Amino acid sequence: MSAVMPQPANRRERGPLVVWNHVPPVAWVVLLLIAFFGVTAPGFFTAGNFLNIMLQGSVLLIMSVAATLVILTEGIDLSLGSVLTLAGVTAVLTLQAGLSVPAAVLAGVLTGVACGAATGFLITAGKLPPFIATLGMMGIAAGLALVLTRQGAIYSDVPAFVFLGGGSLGVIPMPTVIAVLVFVFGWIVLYQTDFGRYIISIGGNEMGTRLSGVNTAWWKFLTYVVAGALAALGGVIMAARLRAADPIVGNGWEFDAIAAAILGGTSFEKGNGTLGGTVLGVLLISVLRNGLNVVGVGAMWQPALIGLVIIAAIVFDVMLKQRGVIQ
Amino acid sequence: MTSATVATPRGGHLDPRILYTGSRLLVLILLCVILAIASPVFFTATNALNVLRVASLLVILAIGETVVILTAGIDLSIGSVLTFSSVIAALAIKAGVPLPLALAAGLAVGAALGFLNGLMVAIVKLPAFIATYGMMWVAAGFAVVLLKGQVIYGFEDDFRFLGVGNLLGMPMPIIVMVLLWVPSYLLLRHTTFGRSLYAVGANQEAARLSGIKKDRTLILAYTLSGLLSAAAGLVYVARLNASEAGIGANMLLPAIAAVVIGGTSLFGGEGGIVGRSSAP
Repeated sequence: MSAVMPQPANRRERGPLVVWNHVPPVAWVVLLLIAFFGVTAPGFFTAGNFLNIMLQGSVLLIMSVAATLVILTEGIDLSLGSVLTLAGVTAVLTLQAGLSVPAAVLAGVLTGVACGAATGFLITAGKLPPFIATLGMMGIAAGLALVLTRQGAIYSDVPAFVFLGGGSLGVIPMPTVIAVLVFVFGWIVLYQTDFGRYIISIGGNEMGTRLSGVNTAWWKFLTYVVAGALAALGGVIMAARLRAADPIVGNGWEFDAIAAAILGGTSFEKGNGTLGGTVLGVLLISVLRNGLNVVGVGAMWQPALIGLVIIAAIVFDVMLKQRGVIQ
Repeated sequence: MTSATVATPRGGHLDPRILYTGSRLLVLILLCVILAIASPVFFTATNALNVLRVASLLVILAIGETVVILTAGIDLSIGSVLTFSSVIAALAIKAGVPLPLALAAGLAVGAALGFLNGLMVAIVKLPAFIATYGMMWVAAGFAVVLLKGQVIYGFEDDFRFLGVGNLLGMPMPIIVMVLLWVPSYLLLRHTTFGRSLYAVGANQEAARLSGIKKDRTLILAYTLSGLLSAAAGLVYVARLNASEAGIGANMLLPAIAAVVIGGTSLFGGEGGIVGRSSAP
């Protein structure tokens, strides 16, 4: 929001605090976690482990960028996880049909574009609430994935395809390279184009945006198409990493992606939020999962601890905002 | 879509709300007719009971989710709360605690988790999505910890009756469902609490200014959701004859879908549980 709207003057903005009160609280939680894991686990502060965190967080980052764009329009996309699954399936099926790797990637991404276009159409032309339209798409995509795979994983180990998930550019894993590109793409779209300005402005006041002559239906439609395409890209990478498309691999990912966006400060109300914040949300979840493993917390205790830290992080965030320490 | 239908002034001969509920019923009847044509077994009393028996758990969960969604919130933790409270009850039964006490413990734990959700949403003012997402992990996580990765199975017949028994020819899950549905309907339609749920969902600020105790309404809504999830969990474990940490994992989305298809607007303030029950 700060890009388009002048912030109200705040006494705390003067003086040395000027930088600190713009840092999202979740950033402190991430730093705290990194410090904690760094002290308690000798294996945490190694280059190899940081690459690990990046690899594990890549698909989540791609998904979370998609979730953020949609939430900024005051919408929600519950189909992201199923679209991830379905796109992986179509990509692997394309490979199994003997087509090339670029064709497979294209098939996967186009699957997401089609799903996004369908939900976008239902929402803008059919006037369905996003929650319902995307819930329906979630069922359709998940069902199609089950039918296409006959309810079992399907495999492909074409080397160029596997490289997308398991290879690396220099030392950086390919999924991370793609995730960074997606983030840059999202950042440019959101902050440097008309499309991005309309996304933010639709979330702030849809009626006002429409009355000032913007074709809000078209831009909203486009937002869901982009979100679908990104989720699909995440699905292709996931399939490449696993060398297989599993018909339930994306279950629950939509909640993780939305949670990462909200942890990063994106809000369902009035289209508030930033892509930088979303990266922090993704980092929080990824560092937490990785750190618990490295420290040696048993798999049994991990879900409970993840939940507690997520709640603590968001409580911290809300408390600081209520006290006006940050904006 | 919902708002347009409900907000229409009642100018015509038909209350639009009846028309709205009616459209869902029509789809339900159509579906039944198609299935009946497709399979001759569909229209038998045994099969109708089967459909209801399977659906009853979902209905119980969906009632709780409806109450929360009416307040413009969401409860992502219902599946995990179902799991956790059923694990508590199962552990209590296996430890020799008398059955009524064990069931009460399960219900109390579910209500307590729902109460915590309510506190986080109403008092700490966390977004409902993230508060209940956190609770989803926490409740599921502690269920795993308590069970130590094992499965508890083989319960006495008096507990299993809740899931597989019959009373006057009616399967118990259906009876439990009806016993929970009727008071919920009355609560939503004919009490001050019910009206304040709708009011808080439609406009929190306006509701607060007109003297509705917003925080109390929210806390109570989430507590009810937790309590109903626990009830569903008890019936489920009694039917499965086993308690394990994964039972609630795939319950959340069908329950939300049931609520939404049943016509409760996610933006709160509209809908009810008549429409909802036709969805599963």
